[in-house]
Amino acid sequence: MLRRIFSRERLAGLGVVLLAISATGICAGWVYGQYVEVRHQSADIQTRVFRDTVAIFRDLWHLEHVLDRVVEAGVATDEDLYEFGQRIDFLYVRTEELKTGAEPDIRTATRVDDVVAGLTSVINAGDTALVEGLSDPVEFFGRTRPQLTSVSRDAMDLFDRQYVQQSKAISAQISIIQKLTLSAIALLCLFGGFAAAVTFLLQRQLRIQAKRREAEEKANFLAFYDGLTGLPNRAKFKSFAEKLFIENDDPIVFLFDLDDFKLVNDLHGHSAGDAVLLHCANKIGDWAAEHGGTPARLGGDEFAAALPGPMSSMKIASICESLLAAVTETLDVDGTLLEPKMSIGVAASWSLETESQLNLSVLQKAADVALYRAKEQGKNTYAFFDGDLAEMAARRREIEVGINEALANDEFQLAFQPQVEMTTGRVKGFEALARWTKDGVPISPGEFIPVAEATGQVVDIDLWGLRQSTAKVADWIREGRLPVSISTNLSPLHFRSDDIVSHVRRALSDSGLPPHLLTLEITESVLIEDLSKVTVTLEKLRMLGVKIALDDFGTGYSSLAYLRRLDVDYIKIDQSFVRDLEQSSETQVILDALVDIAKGLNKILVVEGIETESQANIIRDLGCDIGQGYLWGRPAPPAEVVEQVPLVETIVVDLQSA
Amino acid sequence: MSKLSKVLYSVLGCIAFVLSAHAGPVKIDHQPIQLQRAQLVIAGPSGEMAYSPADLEGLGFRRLTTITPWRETPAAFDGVLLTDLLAANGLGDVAAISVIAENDYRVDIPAAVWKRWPILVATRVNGRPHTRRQRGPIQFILPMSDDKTAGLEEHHSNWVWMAARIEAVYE
Repeated sequence: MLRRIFSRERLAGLGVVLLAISATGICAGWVYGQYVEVRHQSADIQTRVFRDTVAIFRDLWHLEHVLDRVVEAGVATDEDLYEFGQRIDFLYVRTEELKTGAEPDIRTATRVDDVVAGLTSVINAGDTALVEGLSDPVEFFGRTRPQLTSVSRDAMDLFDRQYVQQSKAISAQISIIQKLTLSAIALLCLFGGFAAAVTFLLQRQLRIQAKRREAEEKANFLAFYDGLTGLPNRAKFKSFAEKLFIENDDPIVFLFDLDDFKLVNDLHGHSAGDAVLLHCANKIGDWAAEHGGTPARLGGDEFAAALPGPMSSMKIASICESLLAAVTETLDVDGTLLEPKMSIGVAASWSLETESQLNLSVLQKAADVALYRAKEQGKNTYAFFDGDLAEMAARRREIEVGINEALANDEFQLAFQPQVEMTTGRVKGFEALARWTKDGVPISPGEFIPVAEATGQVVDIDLWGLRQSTAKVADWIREGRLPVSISTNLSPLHFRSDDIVSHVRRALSDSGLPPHLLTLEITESVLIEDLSKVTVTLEKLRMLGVKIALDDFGTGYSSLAYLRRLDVDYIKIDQSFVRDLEQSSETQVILDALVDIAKGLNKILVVEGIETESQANIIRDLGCDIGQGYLWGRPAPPAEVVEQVPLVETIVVDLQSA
Repeated sequence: MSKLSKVLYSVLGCIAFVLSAHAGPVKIDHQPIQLQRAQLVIAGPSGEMAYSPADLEGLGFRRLTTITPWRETPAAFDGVLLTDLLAANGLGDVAAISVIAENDYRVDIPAAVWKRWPILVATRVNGRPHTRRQRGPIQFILPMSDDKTAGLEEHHSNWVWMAARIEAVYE
């Protein structure tokens, strides 16, 4: 407690204050001393003695004149005597003045009292003579005359001394004024310096505070706003939207997702991607402001807006179309012309079921479902959340929960579809597929895989498939069957995960399957990611000895550049090519070219979806290596296809007969 | 007389004295001084006019009670008002006068001074004729109250002793 009260800083501060007070006191005392001295000196100068001394000469001169006149005439008239008395009176008054007109020390220094004594002596003599009567005025005047001369000399001496005294006083004043002036200059410099120092420190403090405030504002901005587009981020959007939900009864939530943004990034670089993001953010921002709402960038190429309602579905459709039109304008990024497009998912309060609680999270999920539908409908469009979507959303939720249960309860089954060498018709291997039957009802992979992809559960399904299929084929080999290859699908999410290499290594070591028998199928969407990272992952996987197949080639943005840059073993041509193979000669031409390319690049071509003999014949004639399709078998449980894998021929040597 | 009445009278007496001291010159009666040799010559537009103390007193007495630069206790000065004297000699409207004393002292007094403060040309002190040794017989007196109304520094030279002559100063 005491330590806090008498802290070092406080004591130091107190010390400085006391020092300042003492210094000020000493200065003030000194200045006051100088002031008193000046006053004193001024009093010396202002004394009336100086003036009176001059007057004395005049009075003495008149008296001397009377005396001289009488002595010269040898007789004194009444008029002379009257004037004598009058002049004595003048001297009397003058002497009185002289007695009171100076400070004691000046009186001593100038010997004024000598003059006063001389005058008094003359006055007394005159008074005595006038009172007693003069028997011989001429003799008296002649006797008195030298006295007057003596007083005049003393007065002259007084005058000189006063002159010296006053000169001294003036010099002293000048010196004091000099000292005071120098002190004033020194003080001014001191205070000037002090003021400059204080100003400097204050400015510095203000600058520091301003910087701090700026940094805080920046930090606040970064915490709640997106650095690239300046739009509110997810957190800020949440608070804005929640406010809107309180103020407005019919809020509408829009979710935006740029179409094929990854492709823009990959093909034209990140600066182009940023330009597109900025363009769309500006359009969405203006659009939201125009309709009194709040925009936000939720992350990546996802944007959102919350607008106050109510709004009819016609109105919503019209504003969605106007936004799409605004976004779709051609953008010139360093000479590259881009046409950004996006999909919009809309959820309005009235599109939800009445009993569901209205909040941002509910509307945002609904808008997300609608967005998904807009993407499905071919992108660059918008979709409302409605009853069907609600059902779909519920179904998706059901599947999401179901997948977790299926993984826990081992409800997934493995299905193997044979892959056949086109020239020999021999089963070369199988593609492993996951099948799911829930409560006796089979659920199509087309339904559960997209949900699993969206939730991330696909990684677990992948892993399950990888471990099960490798184990199964390894078992077959141990049973004495010929080695066959097994292909298993890797989802992009799983491929991108840091665990992918260790997962594959573990599956191989646990099952004991020779690595060259395992083929991992990846899709093009994996390749649209950071190519260098993809290359590194592929390299690590190939080091394990496994094969890599590029799946679904020909469906997406099949870039021949990928084929050149990526080290894959197989190229799987999508089944859509096979479907119209018999009717379309163009498809045959394309397939023919692909076969040439694959052979040129030393890759093996696998064609999926072969259902008829004629399809098989055409493909065989084109020179494809491996086929897969219903012609050779649907995906079936391993137990049903195991017979297609021949046992190793054993040569029985009959020693006895030999 | 009750004690209270005494106190009351004393207070009234004091107030009366203070009022008389500060209310400017009041009229007073004296027999004019006959036996004092002195004169005040006034040079007016119609020639010079010499006033003995008796002549001045014949113009009517006024009393001014005040301290002076050389007296620490107040004294009652009797004499004629300078304004009356000037008016009587046709100098009522001059801008300034020059006053000369018997000892050749001389000072110019601007009209503003006697219009602002009453200047008494005094011939008596405390009812008795003013002697030379008291700075008489004829002396200029200004009211000098304790709060320096008239201003000692500024007006010191206006207390003319042994006044002998008044001349008009024409600009």
